Amino acid sequence: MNNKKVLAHAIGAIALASVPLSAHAWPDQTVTIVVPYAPGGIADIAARTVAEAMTPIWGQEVIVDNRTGGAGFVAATTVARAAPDGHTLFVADMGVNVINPYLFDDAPYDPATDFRPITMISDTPLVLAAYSGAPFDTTEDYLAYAEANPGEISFASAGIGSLNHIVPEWINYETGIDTVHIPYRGGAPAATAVASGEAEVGVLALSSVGPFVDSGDIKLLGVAREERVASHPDLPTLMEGGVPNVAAGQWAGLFAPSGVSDEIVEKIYEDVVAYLETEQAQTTFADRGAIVSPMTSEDFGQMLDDLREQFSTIIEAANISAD
Amino acid sequence: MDLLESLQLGLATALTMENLLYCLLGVSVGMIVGVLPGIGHLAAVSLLMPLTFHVPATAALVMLAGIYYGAQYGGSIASILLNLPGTASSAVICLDGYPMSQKGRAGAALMITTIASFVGSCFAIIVLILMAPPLAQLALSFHSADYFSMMVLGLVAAGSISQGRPLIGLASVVLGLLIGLVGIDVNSGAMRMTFGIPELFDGVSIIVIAMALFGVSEVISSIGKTGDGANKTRVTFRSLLPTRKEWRESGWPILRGSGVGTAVGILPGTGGGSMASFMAYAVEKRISSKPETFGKGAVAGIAAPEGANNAAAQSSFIPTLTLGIPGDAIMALMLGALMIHGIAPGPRVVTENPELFWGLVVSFLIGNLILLILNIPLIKVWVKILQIPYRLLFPIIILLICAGVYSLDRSVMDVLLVAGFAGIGYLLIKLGFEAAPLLLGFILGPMLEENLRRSMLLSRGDFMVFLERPISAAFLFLAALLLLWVIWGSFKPRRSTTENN
Amino acid sequence: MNVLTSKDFLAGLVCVLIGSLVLVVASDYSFGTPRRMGPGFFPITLGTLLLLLGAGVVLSSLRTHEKLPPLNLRPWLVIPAAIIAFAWLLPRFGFAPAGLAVVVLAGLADRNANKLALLLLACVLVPAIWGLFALVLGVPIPFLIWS
Repeated sequence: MNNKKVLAHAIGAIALASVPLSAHAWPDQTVTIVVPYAPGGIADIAARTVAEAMTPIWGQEVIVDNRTGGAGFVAATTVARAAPDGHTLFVADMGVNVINPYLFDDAPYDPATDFRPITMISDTPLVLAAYSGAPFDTTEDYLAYAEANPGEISFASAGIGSLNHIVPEWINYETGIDTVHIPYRGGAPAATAVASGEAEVGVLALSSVGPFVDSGDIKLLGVAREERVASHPDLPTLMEGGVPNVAAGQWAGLFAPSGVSDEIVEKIYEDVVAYLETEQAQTTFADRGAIVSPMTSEDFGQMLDDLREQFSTIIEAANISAD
Repeated sequence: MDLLESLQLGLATALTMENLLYCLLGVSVGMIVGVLPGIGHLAAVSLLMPLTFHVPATAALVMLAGIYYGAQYGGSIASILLNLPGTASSAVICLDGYPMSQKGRAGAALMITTIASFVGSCFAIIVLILMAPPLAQLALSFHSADYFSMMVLGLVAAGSISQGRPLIGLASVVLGLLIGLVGIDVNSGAMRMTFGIPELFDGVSIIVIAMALFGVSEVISSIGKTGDGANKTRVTFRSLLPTRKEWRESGWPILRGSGVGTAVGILPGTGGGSMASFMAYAVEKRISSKPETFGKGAVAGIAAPEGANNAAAQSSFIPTLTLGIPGDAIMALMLGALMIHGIAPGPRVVTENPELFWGLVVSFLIGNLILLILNIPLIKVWVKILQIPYRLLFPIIILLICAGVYSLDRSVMDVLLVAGFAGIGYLLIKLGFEAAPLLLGFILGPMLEENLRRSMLLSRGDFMVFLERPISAAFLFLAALLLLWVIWGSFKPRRSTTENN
Repeated sequence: MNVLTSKDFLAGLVCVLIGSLVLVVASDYSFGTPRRMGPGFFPITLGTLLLLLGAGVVLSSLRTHEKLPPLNLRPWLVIPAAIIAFAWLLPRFGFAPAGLAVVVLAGLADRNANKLALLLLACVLVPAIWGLFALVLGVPIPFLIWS
């Protein structure tokens, strides 16, 4: 007992002797960018590229924290609960920031109120990709085959609620075909599953299937965009292939927990966008099949509102559920 | 480009001053974090990642890889001397390494593991050089059902490593699988066994489990039992040298372990060296003419798994570099490092960035040579740690564990979980449950469930998928054989078991 | 011999209890079908397996008579308590007091602890380990939090 008292006094004395911390301008400590997916996906690359570029500019270490699992719930709740002091940032995509609340009844966060959009970072075209041994070579053939063999075809996704999950369900809804969702832990494993023929198709980011297209394990059927992509001018859009309406981009955007001050958001926005507009940033993303697409915080917020409306309608109409 | 030209290019790349320096830095950091219980190589690699953004891609990978395989060398040191696995993959080394050091053969054990590490690594590197492209193709033919069955075999094998009580060994595996369930279900997003605690949404960290069961529980049972000076090993140069008998007993196990480790490491998703070392241990125990010596300081029980985990650490680069499929979390981080430098992992790396691929491979050889040279003189230093009286040593261990666990995620909850799991774990270990199979169950649990559910979705609900695929059927057949053998063994009259720790 | 001191009997009992507990908790999760397994499928299977293994161990315990080894009671209570003290102090007062507390408290788990030696040990170790983590590895852990 006596010893503990001595200890308590000693602790008190040391505490009093130490110098109080003073308030610094942002950032005065390590900045963590939380990413809801495993390293290797486009969201991770976007976060890492930004983190690398911002470290010298902000004069603080900017690190990327991959918190995978649970359809992004883990990462999203971490950020939602973090202090809104600008030292915790979030790189999120459609799945985490638009789709989840419509798909899961018990999503433990609300993207519309928990996060404040700062800017979009990059956009990646989604492609309908198929195993090279699959008995169809075009979107039309695929639709015909799927129609003739309902419930036979499996599509791989990066997880429940990811855009790779919703878009094929959307295609099913628009065309009346029946395919089965197989979730994987991230875009890279999903691409591998298509390359190995475990799943016949997948609507995946162009960047993650690229290597397998080169190796001949995966063939591309169409791109889920309104117009064709510059890098693959011969690849028709899904709409050209007979799937009405379906177009979506696998964007990655930068967010902060809501409640962060306007000055900090402005500073982050200016620094990040200034970097994204450099030629170096454009090439870095282009090499990975993504397009740098900075956007003002207001435009980005507006876009998110529009997407939420669009996708809540689709998810409800197509009756997509978590399991 | 033929092999000789490739190796020449690799040599030229690896021998630049810059790459040599990063290699040395990487393996040294790796060895230190490997020795220190509580700081896993995962933590070290993640913490050093930002540093590598500022160096060229090859140098960055050379250094990160050095941390990874350097930690495999260091991990067994703490296992042998303190019964604390410095890394998850060296957990199995505790089983025989610690009894060896209690018998005063710590120096010899460290020498054998150092050599086993070197041989295992070299073996796997040669395989990597010769067979990377064809083996990558083989790995691509693995489907979810095959992964599932392979993990079932690994778990049954881990359960039966158990010393004479296979039913409890299997129960330990199941307990581990159950702890692995905690958190958000990947397939449905449902929370399971989180009891509403937000820190548990992400599941329990492997470091927490490993530190609680191997670190703290062991401290609890050793306090007051290990008389001061009981562990005093005389560190003469002679005591470092294994006896002729020990050399003889380690030769084949090292080679067999290297083979098992290389093979397991190639398969993506097997969690780095952990599974390899467990498998190698199980194989060794099965084919040994004296299986009863295992767990009591059998030389083969450290030689084989140590060869295996190092071999696996090297061979797991095969799927990572050629396919872009990370074998474990560390590999995933390395892929991140590649991409940050604008290099897309996948089949193109070998052809489009030959200086990176071959430079890295040659740097593995150099790094292992450095580790071998560094390690042998350091054995004396590590053994000296034993001469600190235990009553002063264990508070240091506890402090290191606390600091290490906290530094992982800066989560107080993780530290509290260590206290809780250690308390429960100590009781379980007293009842005969075993930490090593539990840990493997915990590591493989989420992957096992994921692949099971995925296979069933793919087969549209037909369980036959596991028997129709030849690879899967072969693994399940082996698992069933092992299980029958174990169950039969547990019901036949027991030999008198000695129970004194 | 009393079954309550039999190591295997108790081990089997623990398995049966944990298995049942898991079954109770997991009964809330949807089981699903073999094709679309719900989040409950795996836990329920595992819980059942553990229950069966436990029953097997209990049965086999009737033939073995191994006594439960005595518990190391003092360290079993003191060490987790020291770790909890660390967890409580760290976010409030910083690494120095938390580290000091864990070293001294944990050290007390040994009946023959030398308190002065522990205090000295802590004074050397705590700054060294803090330096390793905070300065070398760059983990932002405050040494002292002044409040």
